Amino acid sequence: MADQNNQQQNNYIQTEDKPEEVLEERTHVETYWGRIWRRFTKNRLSRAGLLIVGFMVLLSLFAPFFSPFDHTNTELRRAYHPPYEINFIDEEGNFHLRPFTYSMEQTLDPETWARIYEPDTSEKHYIHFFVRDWEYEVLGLFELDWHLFGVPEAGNYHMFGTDSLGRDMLSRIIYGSRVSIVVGIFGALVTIIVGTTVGTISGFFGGAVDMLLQRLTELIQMFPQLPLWMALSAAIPADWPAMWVFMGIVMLFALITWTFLGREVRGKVLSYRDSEFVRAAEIMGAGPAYLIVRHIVPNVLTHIIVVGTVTVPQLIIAESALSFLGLGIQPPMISWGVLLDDASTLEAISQYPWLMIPGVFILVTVLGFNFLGDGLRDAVDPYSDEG
Amino acid sequence: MGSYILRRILYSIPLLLIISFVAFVIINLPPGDYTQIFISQITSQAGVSQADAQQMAAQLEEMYGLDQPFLVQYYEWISGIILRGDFGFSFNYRRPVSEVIWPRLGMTMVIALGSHLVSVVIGGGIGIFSAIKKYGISDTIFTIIAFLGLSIPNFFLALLLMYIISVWFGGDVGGLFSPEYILADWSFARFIDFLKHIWVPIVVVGTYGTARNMRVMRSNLLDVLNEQYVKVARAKGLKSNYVFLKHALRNAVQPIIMYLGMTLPFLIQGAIVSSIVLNLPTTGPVFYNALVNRDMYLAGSFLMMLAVTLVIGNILADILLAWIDPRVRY
Amino acid sequence: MFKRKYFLTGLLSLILMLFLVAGFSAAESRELGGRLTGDEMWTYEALEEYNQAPTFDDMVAEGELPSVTERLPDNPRVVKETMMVDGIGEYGGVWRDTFAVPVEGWNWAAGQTQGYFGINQMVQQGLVDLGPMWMMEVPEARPRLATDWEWSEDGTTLTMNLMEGVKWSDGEPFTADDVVFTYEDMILNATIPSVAGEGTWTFGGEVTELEKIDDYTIQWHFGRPFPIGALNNMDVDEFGIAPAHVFEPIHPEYNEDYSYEEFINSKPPEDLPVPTLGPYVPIEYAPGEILVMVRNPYFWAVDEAGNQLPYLDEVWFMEAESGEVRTLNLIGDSGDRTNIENPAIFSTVRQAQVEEDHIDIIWGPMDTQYHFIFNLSVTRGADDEEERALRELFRDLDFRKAVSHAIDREGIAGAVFPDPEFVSAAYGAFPAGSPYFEEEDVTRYPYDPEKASEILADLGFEDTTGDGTLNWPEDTVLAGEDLGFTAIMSVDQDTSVDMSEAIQAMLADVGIDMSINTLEATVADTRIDAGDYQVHIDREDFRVLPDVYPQVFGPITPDDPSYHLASPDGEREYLPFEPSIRDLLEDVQVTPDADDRRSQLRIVNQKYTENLYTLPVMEIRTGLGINNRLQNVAEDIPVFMYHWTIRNLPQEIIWTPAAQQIETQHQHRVPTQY
Repeated sequence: MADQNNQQQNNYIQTEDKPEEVLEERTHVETYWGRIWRRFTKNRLSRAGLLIVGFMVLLSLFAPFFSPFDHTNTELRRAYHPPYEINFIDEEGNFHLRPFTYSMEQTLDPETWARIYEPDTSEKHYIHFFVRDWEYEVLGLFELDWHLFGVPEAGNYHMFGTDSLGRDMLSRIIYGSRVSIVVGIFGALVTIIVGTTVGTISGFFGGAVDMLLQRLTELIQMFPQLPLWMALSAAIPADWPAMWVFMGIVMLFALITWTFLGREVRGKVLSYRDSEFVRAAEIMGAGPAYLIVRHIVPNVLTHIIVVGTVTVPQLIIAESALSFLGLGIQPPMISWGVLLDDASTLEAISQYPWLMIPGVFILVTVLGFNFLGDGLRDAVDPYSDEG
Repeated sequence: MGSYILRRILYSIPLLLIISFVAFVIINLPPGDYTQIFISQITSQAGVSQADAQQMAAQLEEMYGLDQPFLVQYYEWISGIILRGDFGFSFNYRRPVSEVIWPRLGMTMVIALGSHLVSVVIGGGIGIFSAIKKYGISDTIFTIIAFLGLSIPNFFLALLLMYIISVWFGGDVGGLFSPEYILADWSFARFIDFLKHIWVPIVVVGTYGTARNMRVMRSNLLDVLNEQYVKVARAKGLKSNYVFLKHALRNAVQPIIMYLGMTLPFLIQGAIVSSIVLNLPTTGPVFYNALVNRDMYLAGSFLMMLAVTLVIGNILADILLAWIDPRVRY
Repeated sequence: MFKRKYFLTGLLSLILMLFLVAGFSAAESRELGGRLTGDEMWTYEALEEYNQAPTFDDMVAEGELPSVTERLPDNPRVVKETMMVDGIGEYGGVWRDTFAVPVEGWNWAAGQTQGYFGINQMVQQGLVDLGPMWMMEVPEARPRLATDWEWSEDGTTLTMNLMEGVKWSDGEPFTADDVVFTYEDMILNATIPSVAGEGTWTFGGEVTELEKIDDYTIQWHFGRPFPIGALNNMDVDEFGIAPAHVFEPIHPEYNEDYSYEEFINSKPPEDLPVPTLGPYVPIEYAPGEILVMVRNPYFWAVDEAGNQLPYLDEVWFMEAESGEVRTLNLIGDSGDRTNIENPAIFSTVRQAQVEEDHIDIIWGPMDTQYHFIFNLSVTRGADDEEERALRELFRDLDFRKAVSHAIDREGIAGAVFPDPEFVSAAYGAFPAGSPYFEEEDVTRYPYDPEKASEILADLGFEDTTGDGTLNWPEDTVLAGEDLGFTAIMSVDQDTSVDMSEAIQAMLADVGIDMSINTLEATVADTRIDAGDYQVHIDREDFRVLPDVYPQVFGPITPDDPSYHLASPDGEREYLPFEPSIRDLLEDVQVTPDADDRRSQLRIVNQKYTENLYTLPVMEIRTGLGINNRLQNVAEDIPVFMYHWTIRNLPQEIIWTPAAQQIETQHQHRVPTQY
């Protein structure tokens, strides 16, 4: 409550035209959001989380720019290529400032039958930044052919190696991030919308509506999530187009995860419902919609954001697990879970361990969101340990 | 206390009925049923003509009541469970559902409980340690480990462990016993063999819980240690250790017990995915196959059983909580 | 660059030669392929004296079993030492194996599987023996429970003698009644989903009749002279003889109290032991864990020294959640054999072989193919106009040529496994390892994307929307639509899925939009067998011996091949070349002369490849990984040829030296009560 008043007061001060000295003084008064931000950034883990999440979101937004290859591009003669080495020093021991790679020739070890890639050191291929290659659309707005890095000539550079068809793992992981992260964020958004709506309605109107919605919530929470998701996504028809399947999965996630937020919002709404400022507004003739939008939602907003942030990593994990099992996203659409499915056999992981790299991306992204969520929670909690 | 338990149990009965209905609805959502798979199986692999296959499928439908309206099917299924303990028939395994699930449920429970034990003991232990050494180097390290444990998807952890074991130790993964011990009587050697196999799934399934318990224990303990009554007790001159055990720990342990309620089905669901990765004879792969093959009674029964474990788990947790903490009213 | 390449090729060929030389020097004693006559394999005769496993000595002494002479038939099968590369064996030890399909039940004649992976072949027994045919100079079906047979002069009657005095593992006699019951009441009964059916047994439009002459003589009456293919239907799984004394009393035909469903499921998985004619009796099944079998005291074969077979005491089949565990078990020395059928594991097993002492790998010929298969049926599954238009396009040879030219088979094979000795591009209807394969019979439409584009343009396809994908011409039902189709495959076939993704990219290059739909194995099989697909991409196992599996190559039954199914009423619109393939395949089944069959099948390959009936893409060698503790394993045994490994060995002659035997656990449980 105090926070709320504080914030309004500050807004008031800002809009008013004030003499110089008062403005000076204002800098010492902290806004509500400012305080959260300060507390949030004070925590090292939260900063790391913000950094990781920001990086991943950028990666997925500008996937083609960061991808050195088209992720569907197959290069059959370079299947299962391990991650490339970057060289600075050539055969003669000369140092080159610009890193380079060699062309790799595939052979088979006659003893172990393992694929061996031997460098052809006769020609160096330099790695360049900002190279022009295949064209792509940026956010559906305009076309571009710039890529962050690449090897312009005939050479290749596969930072994370290649898969069974010689497709660039790095590019596939970057493209996979689109689906994986979007499922998480989009799913969390739908969760927030449904959870907030149901929670608010339930808490604000009470009575039979509340009773009904609460029983529904309880019922959904009675089922453990993963098996329920498995069962529901098994119901997605096998012949749906990839995009529908994707939307279907997002909806399934939201359908089940909203209940937690719904309950919390309801609790908050109940407590604000009877508060004086809401009563006052009601007496002054405000309708329920106005009350909810103007007075109640802003008060639970921080809480909603925190829950939303915590939901994202859960959904990312869920998506990858489902896709890994073949019940979620279907190839040729790729997500990190789909990519990891290639690493699901012992033969694959013992010979081509780099196929497990998408798992590292899941881990890091989820870690990032967890840091972020934890930091946010602490930052908005007025009682959290300030020392 | 007795009436409290009774009330909780009575309240859960209608809930269980609704759960069973919802489970049945969900399992019936996918288009098509087993008879279609059956028809093409027998026409192609067994050389039965289309017309005969239709007829046989009709027989099958009649036998298992698949031609009945949905509500009748549900009634038959649920009344079978309640009156005769009959969970229906698994088309895929060609045997009663209970015969498919029960033998595997045992192993699932062993893994789930083993993981739970590990997560409570190790997670709780490290949590206490971290709280005492607040902000020290070890605390920071454990915090990071905990975050990693909370963030790693368990199927990925299973893959990593498989990789480590096969590449570094050359051991075999999969299964719960070496062949010579599968049907043997329990002996020390069999137990050792069992441990050799069981630790992987326990680590995989238990990691999340351990990490969570570490965090929860640490933060609760910190909260409690800051509370007035602990400070008072200390000020009164009570020995630090005594305060710690008598007051702080007792209160800090509560959320872990609450978590126990949701823990069982959670661990079972963890065991599902990792069992599929690790080829373990638990309920996980069975549930997965049932979903994929439209083996609806099997899938439905399993889903319902999970929900029931959750309900029972919650009741147990509440009872335990009431018993430990006299402040909880019942 | 070039020098280096030559050097490497030289090195590789040198190594290969060394291998071959090593192979030949060992061949003297340890290879059997194509070397034996029928009589060098086994005969049916009485020996002076018989011996039995020590367990049975005790049981006979205690009166639990009759003596070995009483248990054996009058003239048991005597397996010759010429078939045993390590000679006569020692009793004792365990065969450890792995399976991944739950046992459905023990009523095998009613189509129930015992879990495949070799179990079916251990418990079911047929009249003839196809497995060891790979050892023969002139391969022909060998006697098993039928000891010999004779064709009538006109070739429409086949008289078979059964082994006299054979007993089921419960001691009940085996007679012609069991065979007739199996044929008439199981195979021909339309309500029972037995593996074979009327279609399999129809020759010249007539369903074959089986007549019992006496307890040990039967007569087959065919609608066409010399249907020698019929012998191929008399081994398992098509003709797993059912114990009539168990199943006849509860067969709905004879007992009104039983419905067919109850009858089929009357021997559920855990209802053991079950009477069998095989070398081992299943005694315990712990679902999800293990299936245990012990030696059948009544097994009807001995070695030349009169020792009753099999040598090994027990068989343990560990149940796994997936088939690949079988390979892991062999590598970890907790299993004794695996089939190496998946090129993805070639280097894994090879490395294990190099590192571990207990593994031998026996590579067979190129015997398994991967095909890209168009659904050519317009009478089944083509329900609407669009689907029909698409199928008509598939039926256009020019379109199939265009697709064939668009596929870089060599590239795909190299990506799968970069050694053409083991994985190579395929163009033939039969793999190169087939005895009927001749390079010159094969018409190739190799990788040539420009030609593919030309053909597609000639067919009227043009990219009118400028999105890189061709569009259907204006005068078609699908006018303006993208030229595309959906390929389905089973999700566990990793190699097929990879191959499809490679093909998808190649087809995209010529403007064809192929989408991929990976399905669970059962769902995929279901749809393929029902003709409910446009294209499917799959492993093809049964192509190495077209004389044994003619139905794979052309329309000789209504329910095969899956790429051109007849409508439910048996209607099919033949492509111009199809009737000639059909007639040839039908002739193959009734041509007794091996050379004639050979020339017929060669023509099939010519017509098949010329017309791109299906598109072969890649072929691989398969291997057998086996624990070298096991003796009497010939060094050139095929995983799959006329039959699968267990029969090819054959398993009953395998033994282990006492020092290396796995300790038995269930010898006190040999069943005497059923």
